[in-house]
Amino acid sequence: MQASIFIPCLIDRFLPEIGRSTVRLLEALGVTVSYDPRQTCCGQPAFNAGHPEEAVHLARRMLQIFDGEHPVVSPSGSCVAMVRTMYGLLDLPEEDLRRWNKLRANLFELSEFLVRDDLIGGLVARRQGRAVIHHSCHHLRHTGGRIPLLSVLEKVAGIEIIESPEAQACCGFGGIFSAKLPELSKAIGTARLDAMLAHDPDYIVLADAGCILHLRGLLSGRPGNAKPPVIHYAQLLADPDLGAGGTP
Amino acid sequence: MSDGGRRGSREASFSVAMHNRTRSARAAIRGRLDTAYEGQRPDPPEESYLRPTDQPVPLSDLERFLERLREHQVGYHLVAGAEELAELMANQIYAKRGRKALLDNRGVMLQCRLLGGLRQRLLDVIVEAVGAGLAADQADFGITPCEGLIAETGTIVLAADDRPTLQVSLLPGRHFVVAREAQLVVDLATWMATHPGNGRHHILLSGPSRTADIEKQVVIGVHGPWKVSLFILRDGWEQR
Amino acid sequence: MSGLRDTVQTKLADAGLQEALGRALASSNAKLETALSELDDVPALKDAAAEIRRHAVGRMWQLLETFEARLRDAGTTVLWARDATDVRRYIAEICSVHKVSKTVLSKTMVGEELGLEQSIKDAGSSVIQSDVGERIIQLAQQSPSHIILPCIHLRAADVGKILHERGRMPYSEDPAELSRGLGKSLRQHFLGAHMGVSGANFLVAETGNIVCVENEGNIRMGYSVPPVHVVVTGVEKILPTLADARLLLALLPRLATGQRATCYTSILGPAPLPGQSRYVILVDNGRSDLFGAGPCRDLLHCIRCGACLNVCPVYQRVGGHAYGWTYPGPIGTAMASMLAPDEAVESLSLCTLCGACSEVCPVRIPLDRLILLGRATARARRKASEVRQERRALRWFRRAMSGRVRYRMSDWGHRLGLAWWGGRVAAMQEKLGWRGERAAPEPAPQLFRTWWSGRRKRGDLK
Repeated sequence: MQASIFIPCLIDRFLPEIGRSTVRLLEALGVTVSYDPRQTCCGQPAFNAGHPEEAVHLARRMLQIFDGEHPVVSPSGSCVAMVRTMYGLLDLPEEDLRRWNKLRANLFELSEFLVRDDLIGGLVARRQGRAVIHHSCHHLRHTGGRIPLLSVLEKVAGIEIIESPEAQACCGFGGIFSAKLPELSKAIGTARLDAMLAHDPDYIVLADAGCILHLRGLLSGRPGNAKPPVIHYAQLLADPDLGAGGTP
Repeated sequence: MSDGGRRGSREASFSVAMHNRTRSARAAIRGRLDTAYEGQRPDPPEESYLRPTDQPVPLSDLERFLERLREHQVGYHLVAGAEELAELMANQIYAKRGRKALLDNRGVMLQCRLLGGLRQRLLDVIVEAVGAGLAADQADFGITPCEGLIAETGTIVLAADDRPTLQVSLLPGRHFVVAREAQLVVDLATWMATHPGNGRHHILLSGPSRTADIEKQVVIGVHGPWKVSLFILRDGWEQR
Repeated sequence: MSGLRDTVQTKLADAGLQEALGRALASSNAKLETALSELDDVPALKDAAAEIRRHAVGRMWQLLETFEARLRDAGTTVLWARDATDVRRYIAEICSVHKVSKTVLSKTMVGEELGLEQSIKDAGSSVIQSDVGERIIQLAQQSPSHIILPCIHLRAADVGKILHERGRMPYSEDPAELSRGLGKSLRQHFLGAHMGVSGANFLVAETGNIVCVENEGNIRMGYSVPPVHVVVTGVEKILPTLADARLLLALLPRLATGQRATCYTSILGPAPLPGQSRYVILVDNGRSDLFGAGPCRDLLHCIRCGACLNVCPVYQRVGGHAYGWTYPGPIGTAMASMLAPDEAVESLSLCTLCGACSEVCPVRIPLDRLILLGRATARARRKASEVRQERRALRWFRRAMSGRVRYRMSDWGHRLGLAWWGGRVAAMQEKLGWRGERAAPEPAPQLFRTWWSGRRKRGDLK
C-alpha cells in the first residue's frame, strides 16, 4: 500500500519527532510512504483568526500539492479537519472545489487510517508505565478520533491507559486564542495539566501538535524535575528516542 | 386583584397609531423574510422526517410512574375507593393543621363526592369549591382533579379554563391531586394522541415548585406549592 | 484587544466568581450526563430535533401567519415588533389602556435583549422580576450572566449580602432560606400585579398553543393571577405542531437543567382566560437578518437550553459578563458578529474552537463553525488598526508558507532572530504569553523535511 503524508508546519518545525514516528509506524505496517516537500501549511491559522482570504491562498496550494491518487495521511486531526470541513467554508474556485472533493474523501488522520481496514492488525508495541490520555479537540470531535485512538493504544503492551471523563475537555490552546488571551489559555491548560498529573503518569498522550506545544510549554514552565513527556500517540508506538520500547 | 375585573374585562381600545405600527412591522418582517428566500418560496413541508418512537418501558407503567414520583418528590397514595380517599385526605389535612381547603370540584371529584366527604370529616376546616368565595391565596390546601398521568416522565397533566381554577393548583402551599389509575399512559405522545388540542390551558406538572438559581442547589417550594401529593383511585374504585 | 484581555484577567482573578462558576457548572454537567443516559438514542433524538427546527425556521413566515390567525380568532391580540422601539410603544399603550401600574416580569432572554424592564418602567409601571435568580440580579442592579441561570456568577454568601442590603432580608448563606425568603416576598407582588409579562419557549402554529417551561412557578403566577398577560417572544420560536414541541421537550429540560421534565410546562391555549386580556408580541430584532445570512440561519434553531455555556471551557472560566452583551457563551459568540453591539464584537475571541458546544447542542447548531465565520464577518466592525495589524502578520505568514524556498528562509529567519535579537523576541513572546510559565517552543535541531531528505540520500527508504 502507498500513502502520501501531510506533515503540518508546526510538526515540521517544532515537533519533527511526530513526523518521524508517523513514517516509522506506517513503514512498519508495510505502507510505502511518500512525502512532497512542497507542502507547508493548510491555512488554518489565518482562517481561525477570521481572515479567510489569506487562508484561501494556502488552501489552494494544499489542494494542488495533494492532488494525487494515494491516500493522504496526517498525524494532526486539526489540520485534517481544516481541510475536510473548513475548506468548505472558503471561497474556492471551481477546479479547486473539484480537488477538494477528491482530497476530502482521500485524507485521513493517522489513527483513523490505522484502524481503517484494520491496517494496524497484529502490530504490537511495548512500553512500560502509565499513560494519561488527553483528547485533542479537533481530533476528537471533527475526525471522531476517540475510538481509533483507543484502538491504536490497545496495541501498546505493558502500558496502563488512563482516560478520565475530563480527558475530552479543551486544554485551552486554541491556536491564535493562545496568544490573544494568553492568561485565559494558560489558566485552562494549567487546570487540565493538574488533573492529568494527579494520576502520576509516565506519559501524557495527545493527538495534536498545538496542544502538545501548549501543555509542554506549561509543564516546562513549572518548577521540579520529574516531568512526564507530553507526546503524540504515534511516538508512544514508534519513537525510539522515547527510551526502550516502541514498535519492534 | 380586587380591581382586576375592571382592568381585564375592559375592551382593549388600541389606538390607530398602534394598529398602524403593528401592520407596518408585520409587513416589514414579512418583507425581510421574503427577501431572504431570494424570490423562492421555501420547500413544501416534508412530513416524513424522523420521529423516533419512545423507548420501551421495562417496568410496568405504574411501577415506573411511582418511581418517577418518588424521584420528583411527589407524595402518592393508592386508594381503593371514594370513602378511603376522603378518609385519607381528611387525615392528612387534619394532621397538617389545615384551616382552609379549596376544591376544583369537577369530574372525578364530583363522582366521588369529595367535597361532602371532606366536610363531613373536617368540621372545623373550611372546605369550599372554586367560586364559592374562598380565594386561592387564603387556602392552605388546593385540591384538583387531573387530565392524565404520564409514566415516562412522572408527570401529572392538569387542565383549567379560568384563572380561579388555575390558582387552586398554584397558590396554596399544598396541592392534592386526585387521579384514576386508568388515566395513566406510557408517555406524552400517547397522551397527546388521545387528547386532541381543545384550546384549553394545560400544565404538565412534574414535581413541587423548585429553584436551583443559587449555587445550583435545589430548593423545594418557591412560588408554587412546596408539597404535591397524588391520590390514585385504583381500577374498580367505582364499586367500592 | 487589550480591553478584552484586561476583562478576562479581572474575571480570572475574581476568586468569588471562580468559586461560584466552578461549583455550579460541575453540578450542571454531572446532571446533564445522568439525564441523557436515560434516553434510548440521544443522537437520533437530536437529529429529529434539528430537523424539526430546520423545517420550522425554514418556513417560519407561513407558520407565523397560521399562528397569528389561530390567536386572533380566539381573541388574543397579536402584535408585531421590528425592534425594541416597537416593543416599547406597545408596552406603553398596553399599560395606558389597562391602567397598569404594577407589573411582574418572568425571566426572558428576549426581554433582556430589548430592555423590557426599562420599557415597562417608562410606561409608568413598577416592575418586579419574579424569577428568583432574576430578582437577585434586579436587586443587585446587575445583568444576568447565563441564559438560564442568571446569577450563576454569585455565591450564596454574595446573594445573602445583596438580599440583606437591598432586599431587607435577614442575612443568610443558605440557598434554601434565601430562595424561600424571596419567594415569600414576591408573593404580594404577584397578588397585587395588574400585568404579568413572560417569554415563551415554543409557539405552536397548528393549535395556537404557547409553551412555557419553568421550575419555580413564577410564569404560572404571571398568567394565572393578573388581569393582563403579555407574552414577548422571538419570531423564531415557532413550531408546526404540538408533536414537534413534545419531541423538543424531551431534550430541552435535560440539556438545560438535567431534569427529565421541568416542574411546570404550561401549554397555554390560543384564547385568553375569561376576564383576562392577552397580548402576544412577536419580535424580530435582528432575527430576520440571521435568517437571510446563509449558514447563520442555523442560529435561529436555538432553543435556549444553555448547555453550550455549561460545557464551554472559556465560559467556565470567565462567566457571562466578560462577553459584554446579552448573550454569553458559544451561542452568544456565534451571534455576536451579527447582533452584538460594536463594543462586544471582540467577544468573538472568547473561543478556543474546541467544539464542545456543537457536540452538546440538542438541535445540532454547528456553533464553532459559525463562530469562525463570524470572526471574518466581524472584522468590518472591529478596531481598524487591530485588524490591519493582524492581517499584516497573517499576510507575512502566508507569504512565508507559499513556497519551499520561502519556507526554508522563514525557518532560518526564525533561528537567526532567536540568536541575534533574543531580547526583542523575548519581549514579543512575553506579550503573547509564550514565555515564563508557558515556555515558547524551540525550533527543532532538524526539520522533519531535512530528516526525510537525508534519509532518502542515505537510502534508508525501501
